[in-house]
Amino acid sequence: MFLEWMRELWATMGFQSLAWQQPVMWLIGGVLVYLAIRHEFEPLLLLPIGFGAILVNTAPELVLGPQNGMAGGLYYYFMYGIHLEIFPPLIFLGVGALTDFGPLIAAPYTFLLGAAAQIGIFVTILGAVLLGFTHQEAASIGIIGGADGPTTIFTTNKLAPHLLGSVMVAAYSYMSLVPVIQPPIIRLLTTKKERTTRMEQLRPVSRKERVLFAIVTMILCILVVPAAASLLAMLFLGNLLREALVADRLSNAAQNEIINIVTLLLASCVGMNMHYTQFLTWSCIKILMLGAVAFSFATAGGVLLGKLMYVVTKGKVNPMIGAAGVSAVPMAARVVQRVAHEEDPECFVLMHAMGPNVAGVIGTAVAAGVLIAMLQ
Amino acid sequence: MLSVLVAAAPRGIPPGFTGALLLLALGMGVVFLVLTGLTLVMWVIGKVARDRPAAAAPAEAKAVERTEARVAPAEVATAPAVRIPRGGPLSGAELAAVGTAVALEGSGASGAEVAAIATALACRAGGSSPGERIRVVHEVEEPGSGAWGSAAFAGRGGASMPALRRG
Repeated sequence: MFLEWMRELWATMGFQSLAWQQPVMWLIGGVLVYLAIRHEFEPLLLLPIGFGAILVNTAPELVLGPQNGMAGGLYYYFMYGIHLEIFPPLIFLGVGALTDFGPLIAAPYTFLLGAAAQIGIFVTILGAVLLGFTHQEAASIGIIGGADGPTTIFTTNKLAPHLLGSVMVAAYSYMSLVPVIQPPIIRLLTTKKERTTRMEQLRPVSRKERVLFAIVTMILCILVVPAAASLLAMLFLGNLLREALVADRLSNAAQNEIINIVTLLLASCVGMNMHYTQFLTWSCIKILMLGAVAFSFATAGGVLLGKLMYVVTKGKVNPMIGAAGVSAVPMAARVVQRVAHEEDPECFVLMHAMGPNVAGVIGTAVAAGVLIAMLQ
Repeated sequence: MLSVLVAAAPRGIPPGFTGALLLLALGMGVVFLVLTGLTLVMWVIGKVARDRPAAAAPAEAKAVERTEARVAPAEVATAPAVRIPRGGPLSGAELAAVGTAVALEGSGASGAEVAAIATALACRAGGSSPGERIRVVHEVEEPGSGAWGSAAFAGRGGASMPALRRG
């Protein structure tokens, strides 16, 4: 009787259906949690992603849709935030409200560094096509090189939704590893003299310029790439709320409550897309490899244009700031400052690097719009 | 016009590597066109809409160019404790350094990083009075400034975020 009862109890437990891949995924999720806690690599993202990965490989039924008369779980409905393209524009609202475009407005030439860094996206598309992916899949993988999570999700959802899980994980993982990936590439492509270039202080930017920037840039970008209109509109709405200085409550809500809640839900969803059946596959491994290629080429593209500017301006532009053209804001700019500081403790380029950094956000959204328009 | 061009493109994308090359050329072309256009537009807006130095940041200009700037005793008394040996004026580079330190601290840099910058700054500055330094920090910290934005972005700072409060 007791044994029978124990057998029935055992049958209800999850151990019976435990596959060997599940502990592997627990380990991977654990590594993400470790990196977030121990090394503080993008903890706001990696912590919920790692937790979600462990969770979905422990109780996959949490993300199942309606079946057997049941309505579907909480996380299933969270996923709608991604599938219905609600989360990415909301994140962009917060990003716009948090981003100071002042350094970009003060030095508009840094727009070009943000454009150059987009080369990583398109070079990776070439690589992905050579590895057998379709154009749509390749574009979704290439956009990882933009280092912009919401844009990556937005693009992949439109072009190759079946790759969403792997692409999201690759994008967010590499974004958190920007401090590891970028410095060797920067050092490889620049000389010590270039890295220690000191730049002139940026001029102050007026409120009028900031407001005009938000409106004019939105109009121009949306006219050119209407496919990315929802992202760009929310980005510049958030920025307008911030710069107008008359809607502090809305601006504060976008900067804090909205983006925090959406980040929590989005990052959890990313983690819960890491079920072993989707993650431990050759396709996913290829995507992870291509993601590294995308980031490397994006960094190199920005630095190389930075070197050109260094030559043209006769040494007034520190070429390292081009590396910040990947739009991992403000992580990439901080990495540039850190490398500069290591070379010369009196070399301060953080604010100059913020220009290409925020230009990269716009550049990636434009690149995404182009890809969606051409391939959807 | 560009949007028409982009929208018309899908029918012409050949399969395989050739198509990917076309995507590269067209994609980078459009990205550079758009951002070059924005560069020019912002350059024009900058010429037209920027505040004149007298209206924009008189205090900042004064901080960079001052020779004998003085701070009211009350301001000194209420200033947080950042102490640097009395000496020469703050240069533009030092002002930028203050901005950098504020942004680094706000965006989650370690105390050691901020301290290293503050130390380098103190050595290079050759000193200025506490009140003067604090005044500069407050300028940098104002909402809308670059440093403030970077700090706020990381979600760890805000309008009243204390900055460079070490001495």
